[in-house]
Amino acid sequence: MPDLLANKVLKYHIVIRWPATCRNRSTYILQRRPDLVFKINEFTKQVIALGKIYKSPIQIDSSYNIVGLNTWWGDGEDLYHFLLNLKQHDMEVLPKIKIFNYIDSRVLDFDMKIEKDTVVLK
Amino acid sequence: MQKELIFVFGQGNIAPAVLEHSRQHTLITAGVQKHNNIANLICVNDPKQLDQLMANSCKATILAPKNIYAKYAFFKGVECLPYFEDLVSYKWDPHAVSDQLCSVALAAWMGANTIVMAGYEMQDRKERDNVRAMMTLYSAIEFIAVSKDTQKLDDIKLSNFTTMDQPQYKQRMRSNA
Repeated sequence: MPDLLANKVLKYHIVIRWPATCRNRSTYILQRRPDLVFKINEFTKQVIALGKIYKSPIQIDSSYNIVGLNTWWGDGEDLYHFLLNLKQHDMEVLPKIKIFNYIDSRVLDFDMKIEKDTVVLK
Repeated sequence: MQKELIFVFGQGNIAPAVLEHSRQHTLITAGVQKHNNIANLICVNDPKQLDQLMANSCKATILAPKNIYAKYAFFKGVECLPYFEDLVSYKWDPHAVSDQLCSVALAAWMGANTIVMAGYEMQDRKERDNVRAMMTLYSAIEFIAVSKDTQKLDDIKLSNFTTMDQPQYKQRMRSNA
């Protein structure tokens, strides 16, 4: 049987919310607020640096999202660890996750609830 | 083009000839069973069985319906069952049918030309009706049920369905080789 899962892609998508002052800012506002752009860039660098500690790299989606940073994760364990340690990194995520299903190349949507020692998907 | 042959193993006994032949092809096993370790894919629709499979390390990819899969979404080796587009208009619910039938649906979805069903338990009337409906829907696929007691399946009369015992199966495979 050919290996169905041979060409693995980044499987998990979550949105890490921007720092509070940068949220819901249109590109029009950002053009006039270099301080916010600086903060957004610093935050992005922080996430990239954080991604390097994990075994599987994370990918930042370059498209701008007014709510937060679009991130794709290749490894479930890494993401799980990240989600359980959000407070430690002083970060917040949207309570939604998209998961790429290798079998039929669908993207599945789940609501996500982060509890003290677990992450529940529904 | 080589014919795509997919084996589906139910919970019953598997004839040695079928077991041997399945090693060269794609094998889907239904639920927790002793042949999970040689399968390519395992189909489950029961949360307890999924817990059991996840507790034992197996090489096969486990496929489960979305709400059951959610519990293990961060784990490796488990995926969500595909969206069976052909079955949507028939109110397909993977929880309402047996894991055996889910496995057959998966084999059909994967594009099998021939599906060999072994150890498939069809004593239950509902199960027989469901299988018959599946065979009718996928009329271009040849279904072969390998069973010791072929007479029990005689009431399923479809042009794309054949029942065989082990000697007949061996003979068929020899003639196809």
